[in-house]
Amino acid sequence: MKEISIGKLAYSKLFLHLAKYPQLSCNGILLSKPSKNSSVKFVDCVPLFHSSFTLAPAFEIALSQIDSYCQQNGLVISGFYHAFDNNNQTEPNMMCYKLAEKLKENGDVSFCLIVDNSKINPSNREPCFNVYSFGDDQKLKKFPGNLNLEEGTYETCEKLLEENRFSLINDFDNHLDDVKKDWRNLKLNENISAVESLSAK
Amino acid sequence: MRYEAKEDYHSALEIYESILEEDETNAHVLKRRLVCLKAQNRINDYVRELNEYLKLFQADHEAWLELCDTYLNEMDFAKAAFCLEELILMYPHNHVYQQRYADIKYTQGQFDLAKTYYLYSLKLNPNNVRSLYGLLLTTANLKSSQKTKEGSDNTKLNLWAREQIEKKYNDVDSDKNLIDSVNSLFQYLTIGKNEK
Repeated sequence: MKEISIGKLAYSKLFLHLAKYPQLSCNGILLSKPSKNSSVKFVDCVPLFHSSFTLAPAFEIALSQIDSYCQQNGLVISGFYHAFDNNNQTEPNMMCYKLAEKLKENGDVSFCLIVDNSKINPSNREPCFNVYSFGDDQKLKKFPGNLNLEEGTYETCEKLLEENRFSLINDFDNHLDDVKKDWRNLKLNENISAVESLSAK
Repeated sequence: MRYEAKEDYHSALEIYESILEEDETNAHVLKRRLVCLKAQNRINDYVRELNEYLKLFQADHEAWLELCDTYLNEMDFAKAAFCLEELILMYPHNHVYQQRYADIKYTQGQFDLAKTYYLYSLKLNPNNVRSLYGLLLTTANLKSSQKTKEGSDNTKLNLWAREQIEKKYNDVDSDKNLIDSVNSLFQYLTIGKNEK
């Protein structure tokens, strides 16, 4: 049975992406270090789009560049997250299914994290998403294994929200509108590490 | 609207219906009624009602955009393309609509048409990065022989798009890793004998 854990950086960036576009759907790719055992740890995430998710060209460009970024940093694409704009939608839809299939074709693991909008409150102390993966019947099912979060993740997210850092995150849509905006969010990564050390007890 | 905020859509809809009985063409109320449907995730009803609304208010470009987005979410590309065609008829000089139409055509696999519309979009705004990338993708996917005029045109366009994109990244002083990512993308998408 696989175990999934998600690092502070990945969770915080996911959170900030959702905070930046609360009225829209958002999605992004999750990256992890390749591991030989059956556990997966998401160490980073790349926010992708907040509009027009089903259009191929931007997606192909994004995945290509992320692939190359992964090779530079020894990571693999291991899943994606999606947040619906409708409060009540929590199951993956056709688009999520197709994307999960596509990612699985190109790698071994493919997890689909669907954000549950009722749990995004910063004072919440449980993960704000549900994890889905492919079962034996090729359908997306809720992942039965354990989900661990790095310690201090929720506190970091709260602090980032208080300081309005969500305006700093750039997704691929922002990058395509203005090439200066870095979808890798390297500066933000440093910021988040700085906040981590402040909120460490 | 207060009922909407409380998610009591039934009461909200009753109030809107009573207002519409007095005035059938109250656009504001018609839109609020549509939004109630969307919030309840009744997509089929939403699409049907939005189509009815657009028969009354054909010039409402935001509504056309909304319908287009809804069709895209349902992956109904043909109907989404139709919505954008209406928008392009209304605003032929808007490079964003041309580029988005090209995106839909690309997703449907109609690379020829996609290329044409990316070129229109770039004629209107040569700085549209999505169109530049789109042009790169379509010319790479249109695998015509190099010897025909069309083939050599594709190669020239591909090269031009690549140069424009490189120039953009260099203009903003992107760091080496990002440029490397972009270059590896180019290697994958370049056509012609002289691949770097």
